[in-house]
Amino acid sequence: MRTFYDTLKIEENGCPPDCFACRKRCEEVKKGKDSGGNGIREVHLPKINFHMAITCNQCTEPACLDACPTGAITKSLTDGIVRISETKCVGCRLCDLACPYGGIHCDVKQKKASKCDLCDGDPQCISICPDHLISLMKARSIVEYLHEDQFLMGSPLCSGCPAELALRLVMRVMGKDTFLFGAPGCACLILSGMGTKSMCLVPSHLSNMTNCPSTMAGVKRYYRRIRKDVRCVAFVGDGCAADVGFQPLSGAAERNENIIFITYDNEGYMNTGIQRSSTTPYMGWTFTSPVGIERRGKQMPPKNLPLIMAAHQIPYVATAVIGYPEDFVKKLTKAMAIKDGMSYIHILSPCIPGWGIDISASIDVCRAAVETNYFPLWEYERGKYCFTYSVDKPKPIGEYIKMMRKFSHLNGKDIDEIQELVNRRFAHIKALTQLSERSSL
Amino acid sequence: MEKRKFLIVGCGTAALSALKKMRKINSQDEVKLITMEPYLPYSPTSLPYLLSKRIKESEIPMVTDDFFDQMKAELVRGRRVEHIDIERREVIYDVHGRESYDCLLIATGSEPALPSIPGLNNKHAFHLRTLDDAKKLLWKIKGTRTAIILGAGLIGLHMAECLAERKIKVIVVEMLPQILPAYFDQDASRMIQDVLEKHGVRFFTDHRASEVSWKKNGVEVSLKNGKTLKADLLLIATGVKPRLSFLNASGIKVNEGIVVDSEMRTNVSNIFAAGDVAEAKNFLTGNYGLNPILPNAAEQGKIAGSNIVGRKVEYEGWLPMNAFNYFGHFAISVGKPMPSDGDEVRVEKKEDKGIYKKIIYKDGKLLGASFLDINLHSGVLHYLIKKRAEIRGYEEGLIKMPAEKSLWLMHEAEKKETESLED
Repeated sequence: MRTFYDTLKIEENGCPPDCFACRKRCEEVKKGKDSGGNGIREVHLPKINFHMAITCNQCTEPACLDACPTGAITKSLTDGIVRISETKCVGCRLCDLACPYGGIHCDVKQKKASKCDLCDGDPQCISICPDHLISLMKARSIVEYLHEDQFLMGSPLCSGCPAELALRLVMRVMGKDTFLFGAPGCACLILSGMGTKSMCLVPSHLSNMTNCPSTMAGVKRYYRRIRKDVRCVAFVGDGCAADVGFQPLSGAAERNENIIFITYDNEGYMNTGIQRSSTTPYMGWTFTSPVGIERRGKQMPPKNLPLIMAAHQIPYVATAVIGYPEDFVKKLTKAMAIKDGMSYIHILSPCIPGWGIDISASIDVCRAAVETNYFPLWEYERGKYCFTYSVDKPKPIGEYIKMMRKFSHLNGKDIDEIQELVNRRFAHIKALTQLSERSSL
Repeated sequence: MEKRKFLIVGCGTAALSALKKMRKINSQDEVKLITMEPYLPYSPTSLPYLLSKRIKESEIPMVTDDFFDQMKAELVRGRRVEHIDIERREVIYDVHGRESYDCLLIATGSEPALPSIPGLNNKHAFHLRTLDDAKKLLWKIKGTRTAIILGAGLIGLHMAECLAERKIKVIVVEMLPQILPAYFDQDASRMIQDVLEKHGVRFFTDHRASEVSWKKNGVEVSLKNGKTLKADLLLIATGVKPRLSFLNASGIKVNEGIVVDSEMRTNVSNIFAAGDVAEAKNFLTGNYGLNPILPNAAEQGKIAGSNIVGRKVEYEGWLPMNAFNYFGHFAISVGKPMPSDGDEVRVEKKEDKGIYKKIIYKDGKLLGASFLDINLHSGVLHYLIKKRAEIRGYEEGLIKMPAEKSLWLMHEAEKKETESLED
């Protein structure tokens, strides 16, 4: 089996010019040791506008390791960190000659090579970076953390549907002690199965659209009463969450029931044959918001359900897409940890036939939605809003729109109008995050 | 599937990286290594550092005691392979020992090449190729005050530095007009030589030794011009040659070394060779040749290991490269040391400050680079040459800010490659 380890991830070309905070911190931390302090270095090339920090990748098959004449370089099998033994290193520079990524530094004075050792799992450069460009990719923890797939294979969903991927990921994180709820919609096909066969390996219940949160609340209260820690998780579509079942959802949020409610938002009633819902985007085509001479798709902007849920002031609200799985897993983990109230996660889930996108494009569409600020990734945690993924240079919304046929009738003016709507909505959330920043000072 | 039996002759860098690669690919086949060494695997590269006491003998092994158990491989030590019977697929060692194989990897490395100088013999002169050599030498140099080194290649200069660190007076004799001819041009060599001379190493370049005579407690080396040098000790560092005497009449094609194709396969389809012993393609010229340096052995070993277990990987060819540390200074050279016709060169040197930077390129592709005392990542330059990365327009930058520019070019090339994979 392949093993996955943690690696430092550094955002590309985003460092503030002339900043060397990470290197300074590294030197401070490793001071007094024979080698070290050269784990990370900044590259500033103002003329070509390139500013980035470079560090060791902790390669799976490190070239430096094979090139070491004394076997001083080793890769740990437990944490995957490539380390240099100070007593064995002779400072011959062959490791530097072998490493294509500039991950090793040889000091002439100390006659030793040194490199990033991830501070043994707690890299000190992360917190010092003023722009939060450095993060530890918890690839290993995610894989270790993920449990087995809680669904059998062969779902009847459309090929390329990201909702299935999202649900499988949700259940991998949530694990066995979970009671899964659904409501009529696409996902209920994997949840309750077809005919007499079910694909789901955990207890599940298919309630009505109008009573899903209420049913969950009841089941959760029962489990609490028999003192069992069972998570009640709902995975329902936007039709249930935003329209038909909105009242009980709002009610459960107001009562702050300890349930985890996940909405996969495919922006319409896709399971019944592509009708508009209250989250269908402005000017988006569906069969009930057609495109003709007079009408150009849906006439009104969509409901911003995650913001509405945050307005209930429940402990945790977040938006996520399957295109950024690490971010998604982080949010699921946070939602799981909440034991005193409700958590709500809103996923954008492109619909292959409903949006008119290519089977292979759903992940790209998810990413484009984030990169154009159409669907920003943010979270609301106990009163505070913050972005979990910052887009440095948002792409124009046209890039997102051209990926799908439901917007194929739009002209330049329409796109400008949608861009303005996107900007306005983004500014709204941004203002909320800034408010949170200010109040925390 | 039935388990196959892989045999590796030799246990140096190439052999170890082949073994690691085989296990990485998850091969469950039986692997046995036969080495003439009685010790755990070590690299000859580390031996000079033993003389300068920068490293202890106990730190020399490249792997831990339990490495071969972890790798589920068997190491047979102290056995010298004498013949290979390609018909019966057997390796014959120490007269009577026989070992069969399904697939064989020859990674025996190299041994010192002895120049033909009257009076020179293996008995009195010292080499530094095996740990036993080093032990003998360590014992010998305790009473040594002066030493002569024949050859100013990397090994010779490494030894010169290490002996000088021990306050031994060193004289280096080189028949070519410059030191380190394989890696640096005359100007750079001169600057390196100046530093070494400052630390007490004497050089006789452009001098050929004509005779060696052994005295009661020392040695005399006569030079072609009539001069005679005296010292307590004579060290031979005139280069290495592949260790392949056991291949005589085996049917395996040998030129300078064992000739291998781009899969590191010899003319016999189930026999592979890697490392110092293999004669493979030069990355830049496409000509076949030897490249007895450690990073090369590591790479070839990996490729051989992968092809042996059946995962096809092509070898792109080797590049001359090396790094040399001397008295707090260092020199690196990657790729071509000298330009050939049609190549462009950019040089910046300030001899008084010890600064020397040179790049060789053609059609916007880097071919070679050498730098003295410039803090940069030489592996990144290696990468740029190997990937044939576009450097057009940034040649000046590579001279002015070599560390930053090369990292950026590497970053761009990586990005381009990732994008082309996605397309």
